Amino acid sequence: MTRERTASILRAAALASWAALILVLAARGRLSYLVQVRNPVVFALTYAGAAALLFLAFAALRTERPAACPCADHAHSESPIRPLGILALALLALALLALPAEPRRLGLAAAGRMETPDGIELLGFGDDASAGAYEPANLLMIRYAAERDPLSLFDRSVVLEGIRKKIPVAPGSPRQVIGAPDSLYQLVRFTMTCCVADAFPVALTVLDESGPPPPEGSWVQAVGTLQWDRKNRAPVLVARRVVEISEPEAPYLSPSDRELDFLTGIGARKPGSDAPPEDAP
Amino acid sequence: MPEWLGEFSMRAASVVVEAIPFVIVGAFVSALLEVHLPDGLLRRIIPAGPLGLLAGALAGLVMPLCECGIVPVLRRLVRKGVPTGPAVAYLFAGPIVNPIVFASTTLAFGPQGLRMAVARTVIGLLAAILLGALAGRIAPAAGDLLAETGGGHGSEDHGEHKKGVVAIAISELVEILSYLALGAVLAAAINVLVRPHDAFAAVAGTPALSIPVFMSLAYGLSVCSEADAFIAASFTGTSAAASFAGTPAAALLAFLTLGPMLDVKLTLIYAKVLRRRAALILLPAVVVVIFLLNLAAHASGLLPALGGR
Repeated sequence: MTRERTASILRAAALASWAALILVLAARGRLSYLVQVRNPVVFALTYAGAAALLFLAFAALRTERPAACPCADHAHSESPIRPLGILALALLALALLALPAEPRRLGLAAAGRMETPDGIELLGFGDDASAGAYEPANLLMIRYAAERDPLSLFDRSVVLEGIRKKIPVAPGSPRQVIGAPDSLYQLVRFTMTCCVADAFPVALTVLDESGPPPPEGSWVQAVGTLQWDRKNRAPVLVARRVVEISEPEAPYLSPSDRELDFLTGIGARKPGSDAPPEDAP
Repeated sequence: MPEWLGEFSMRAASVVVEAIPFVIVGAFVSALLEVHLPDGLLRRIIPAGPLGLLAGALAGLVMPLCECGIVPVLRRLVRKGVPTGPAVAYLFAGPIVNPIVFASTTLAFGPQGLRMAVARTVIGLLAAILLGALAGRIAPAAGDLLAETGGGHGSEDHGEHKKGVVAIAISELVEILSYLALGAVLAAAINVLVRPHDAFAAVAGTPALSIPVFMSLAYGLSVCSEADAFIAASFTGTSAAASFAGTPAAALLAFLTLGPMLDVKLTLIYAKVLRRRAALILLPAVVVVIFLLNLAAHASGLLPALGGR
């Protein structure tokens, strides 16, 4: 076998390996771990990329790399790809496919050091008048609304899902916590636009006096009322009921999620008028 | 398996998987230019001087490609006789000054989106023109800019080895993909081991430091220009990922203008494609120009005030 033929085979293998990475993850229902499959453009491009790679891998077997330039006075415009480099490209794809035997979605470690309150000061606890009429919401909506119209959140009864993340307490700095020390924690969820590289965490402080808190890092569903934390000038969920749930099928939020019905009515006030509702009822 | 290992493999794979369609498009555009574009045609069309730089910087409006896909096109354009200045202006402006990125920036920043998108476009345009002018001065010939290139003649002299679009596209694709994959691995390692969000959050609110801090963040994160605006927007307002409260708009614009021009994966690709002297001058110049332009934008008072605590 000639060196050129070997290189052609390696190029085909490299391209096919990356196509395999995409297609195997898709077949195992885990493409959503890498890219935002709820975005139709990203979804289509990912599969189109895999199909194109397969086509090019097949074509590579039948096509020789542009031959070396016969001229002696300059380097050729098509630089030769070293066979070892191509082989490494193929092996990397296979390694990335094999490495996470059970690929994991982004979790607490990826959330990093979140902005955490060292205590909260609520304007009120609400009367839970909406019991039984909780609105499905998500952390991105809450954050979006909090930045534009915090008053609209006040006393809203919602159902939220996220990962429980405890709030670290620095030694020697007693927290001003209402209730038991473990009653204050954060719900965390990731938002992804295109791929994991652009995922970022969104968090909401939860005051949960409904019972023993769920395990750290577990997915939970929290039902409660949104209140305003005057100290940190941020919304807080006063939870009435928190239950551990299994990981959702679509754990990553999409930027479009902030525009659901929950936000109807937000924007009636001046956009960006996020002055703290010090005088809110 | 430790959580960080799973996260590392996810991050590395996702950067490549997301970029693959764009790199394929870039490779095919490059191959089509090689086969069908007569040598010297663009050289005759593109005006000389500042107008040529402006044309290069605006070329992304008609040929929008992301930062990974644009590199093989740059190489081909230069080999086809496009002056190095306008070609480099296109290289750096293309991933910013294009309709897709403008729309995503507008969407990400809500009420301030239009102003942020306009500011990003203007800064990206100015930076690309300055860098194109620099490239034209330090690397006036194709051979001064590109690591490997035809010297005294064009490809029409090489009819015997003009192999067709697919063969050239495969060659381009495998080469760029190799360096993209290596860069993605490095970027994933930085994200998992260093966690730049955390490392830089503490100083992000200090105006003098926030611009270089966010430039460093853009370099380490290596996010595609179509999606980076949503990350930048996440640094504002309440419940941010980390303590980035009070970050000025100029710092976020520095993030949004440096990232598409220079990051970990692009550094590796540039190191392969550009001649060493050109890379050693141009890449630091990108950092300096972006820093100074964003500093000037901050001082001008024209940038919007973003939400925050």
